[in-house]
Amino acid sequence: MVKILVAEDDRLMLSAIEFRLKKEGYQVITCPDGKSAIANIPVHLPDIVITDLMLPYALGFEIISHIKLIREKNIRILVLSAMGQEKTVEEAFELGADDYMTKPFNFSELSIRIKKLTKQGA
Amino acid sequence: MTVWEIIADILIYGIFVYSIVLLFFYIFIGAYSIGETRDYLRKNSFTDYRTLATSSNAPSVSIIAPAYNEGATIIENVRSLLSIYYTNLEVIIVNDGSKDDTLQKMIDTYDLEKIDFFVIYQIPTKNVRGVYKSKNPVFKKLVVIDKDNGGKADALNVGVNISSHDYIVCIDVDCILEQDAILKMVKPFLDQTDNKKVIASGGVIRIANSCIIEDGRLTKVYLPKQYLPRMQSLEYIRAFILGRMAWARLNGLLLISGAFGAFDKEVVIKCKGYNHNTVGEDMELVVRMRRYMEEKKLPYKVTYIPDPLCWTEAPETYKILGRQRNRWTRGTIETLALHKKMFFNPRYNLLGMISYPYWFFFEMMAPLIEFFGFIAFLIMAILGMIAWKIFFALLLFIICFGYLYSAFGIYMEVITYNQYKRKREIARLALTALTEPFIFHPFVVWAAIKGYWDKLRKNSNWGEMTRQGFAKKPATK
Amino acid sequence: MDNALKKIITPEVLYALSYFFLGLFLFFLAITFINLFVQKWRYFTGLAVKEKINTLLQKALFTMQEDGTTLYPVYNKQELTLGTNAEKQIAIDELIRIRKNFSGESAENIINLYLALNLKEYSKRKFNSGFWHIKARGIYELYMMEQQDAAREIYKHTNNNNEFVRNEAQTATIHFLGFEGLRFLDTMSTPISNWQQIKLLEQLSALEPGSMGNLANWLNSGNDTVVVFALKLADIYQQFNVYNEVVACLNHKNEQVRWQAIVTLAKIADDTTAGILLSQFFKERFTNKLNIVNHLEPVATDNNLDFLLNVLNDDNHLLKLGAANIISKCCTDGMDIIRQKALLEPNPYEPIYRHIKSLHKA
Repeated sequence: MVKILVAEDDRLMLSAIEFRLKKEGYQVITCPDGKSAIANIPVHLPDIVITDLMLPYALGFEIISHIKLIREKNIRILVLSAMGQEKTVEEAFELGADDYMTKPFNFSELSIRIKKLTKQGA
Repeated sequence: MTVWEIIADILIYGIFVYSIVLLFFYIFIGAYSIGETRDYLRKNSFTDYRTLATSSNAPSVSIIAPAYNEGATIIENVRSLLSIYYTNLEVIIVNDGSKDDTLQKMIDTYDLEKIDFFVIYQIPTKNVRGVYKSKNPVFKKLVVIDKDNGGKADALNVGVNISSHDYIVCIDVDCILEQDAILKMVKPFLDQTDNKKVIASGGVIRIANSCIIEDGRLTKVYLPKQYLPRMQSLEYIRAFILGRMAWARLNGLLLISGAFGAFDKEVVIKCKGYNHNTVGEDMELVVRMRRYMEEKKLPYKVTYIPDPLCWTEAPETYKILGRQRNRWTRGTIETLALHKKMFFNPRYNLLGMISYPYWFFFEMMAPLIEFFGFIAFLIMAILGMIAWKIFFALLLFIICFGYLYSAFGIYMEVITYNQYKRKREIARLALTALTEPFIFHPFVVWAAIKGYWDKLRKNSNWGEMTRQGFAKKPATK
Repeated sequence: MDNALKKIITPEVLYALSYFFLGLFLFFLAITFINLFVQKWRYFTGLAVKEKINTLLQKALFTMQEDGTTLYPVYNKQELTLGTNAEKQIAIDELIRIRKNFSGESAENIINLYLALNLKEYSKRKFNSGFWHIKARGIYELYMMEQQDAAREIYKHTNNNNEFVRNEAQTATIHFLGFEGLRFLDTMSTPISNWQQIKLLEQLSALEPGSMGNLANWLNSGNDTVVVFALKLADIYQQFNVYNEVVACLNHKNEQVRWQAIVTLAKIADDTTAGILLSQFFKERFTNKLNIVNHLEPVATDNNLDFLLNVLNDDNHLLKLGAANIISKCCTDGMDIIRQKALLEPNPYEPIYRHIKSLHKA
């Protein structure tokens, strides 16, 4: 089963994403802030991490750089953020993000991107 | 009438007028702040501050934090600054010739390397030894500067010189900022619709004692459990929610706390930055910037935002508190002395006619008047010259007025940005207010008198260059 | 003591005033506590409403068929009743916050939930309020929830005397009509704050670039903030067709306008731009001089080397540094030119050279 960790600070959003992904058959781990994401990623070693950029305690960039230090597994990173500036997107990719979606977003689009990432990872 | 009677009359009437004007100022400040607070809340009730984080058209901002012997906490502090929400941001840490491992710790943790940097001394400062940036792209926003020791004002000026952005936010490195603090601090600069340029904007300082802090973030707010910090919480509520709000509405603000203030960099440079010859460099800069604008006849504004965004530890002992207030008094005296030209000078408009005189009479002179009043009282009491009946009536009157003002402050706090949600906390705050005239207030007056004394002594043997580093607990007026 | 004062300030008067203050003191404490109590109560009722909205949202967003396609969600009447206005407000705020995250069908489902909860009526009532802050909020809610039918009414307020009402009305108009909506700039007589400009540009950035037919007129507007905003539009959407109008803005009396015109010009440059900016350089004060130097990168060539070398010798270090940067990037063997200069005059050109070199590395 594909494991996805979601870091998002809006509880309502977090539960919405969790609900949807579970329905699509993924195993979902939720983190309401950057600190818990950084702590949980090495423990759960998810296949995909979906992260916001503006998070309490640690920004998404920091999460990405932590993931890149993990050697055991090639964790795919999808940034899901309201920040759409060219500079920010570039920075995310430079740090090692695999995909970038800007909010507002569409769930069907998210599903497609996740499927792509799982294929790449396999 | 004898000469003595005339002098006595002048004194009595003088003090009478002084007290009446002071009381009216208090009433005015209390009443006038209400409108400003209400408007601010209405204007920003559904503002999406994150627009600034997501827009590529947001202005650029540099946070400048001087550090002196902060080795124990610097890593934690920088980490917390780096997690602030703002895209076009630069976090400048100025190591002011620390004697400990402040710099080395940052170099190790953040993977810093010295870069070739052409330092332009637009504001004259001590020598910059090196500019460091991280090799790790995740710390892109971080700029660390190493310089010869020169005090807080000098360190801030170096930060201003190095900053490559349009606005600067000066903070104490050990204060805790909310992550959206910069988003909110920048907005007043963008709100301008008339020709009045916003040159500076102040923020609220809140007291973090007894609060729970995790990983550089405030997670739970409690009213300080110790007396002095609790008392200062009340003091800050009154000063920030009532005082600053009213003064901002009048556009008469003279002080932006050194612990958290934002400035238009261009104007700061034109004014030659912070003055390192005063212990009140934060107030002095604002006064000088205002004076500059007035003299150039440029329309301007100094704004202030009431959101609780910056938290700091307040002094917990009488000794440290005393030193802090001593320094504030000296800072005020020095600032006002440097700009005495503006005193009731109509050329400086409201600044010269109201703000400056208010600070002169009711901030700077108040402790002196109270102190000599008390001495006079003691002498008269010994000589049996006090009309006790009216004395007690007056005492009760003024104490009750003080209580009322505090209660009003607490009320405004609760209906606006209430941080103390438990009934017990508000009750304790009210009880603390009751003790103020007997414990806290006399102490603060005494500390101010010591400030006067130190100021006199220092001036008599001038030439002795006392280079103050940073006081351990920063001035968080 | 003096007699006149003695008559006014008697102990009786003072005691009376003291009791009055004491009374007020107690009054404020009392309403403070009442307020705390009310806040707590509101917090808990708020939680209940949020919980309800959360459940409804799950339904709105995820009513799915077996094959994964979404169905139109069906609500029962009881779920959809909200009591007081305060409850409605909480519900709207929740919906808007979530709605900001979604586009497409998910957004539609949220909007349908807003309608099903009968909240539109509440928003419209606010829109018709006489209080500016309530009116502004009403407009905000209506456009966040895509209530196109309100567009006409809202448009009328784009030049409202109250800043907040007109700001929301402008944002709403762009939201409803896209670039077409910018036509409110034609008759705009009130200033647009920088904040509002940022908001409008954000709003536009989500859309496909559209036509800005009147851009040339806006650039000639008597309203300076409209000119600045139009310059930003020309910059971001690379409107080469208004090149001449932008050049004309360099003669504007407002320094802010000229500042933005310089920035914009560099973005929509052609081969005449370098010359124009260079001659502008001599007309400007320091801030804009530096601004010009810093924006020469897209336009400067070897032809401008003499000018740049002149600036490189300017007294001001910022200008020196700016010029060195442009030379290194735009001129043939630019880096070498700076190095030669550094050899001739190590102070200050040696550190400038090294600074530029480290910029290139980064």
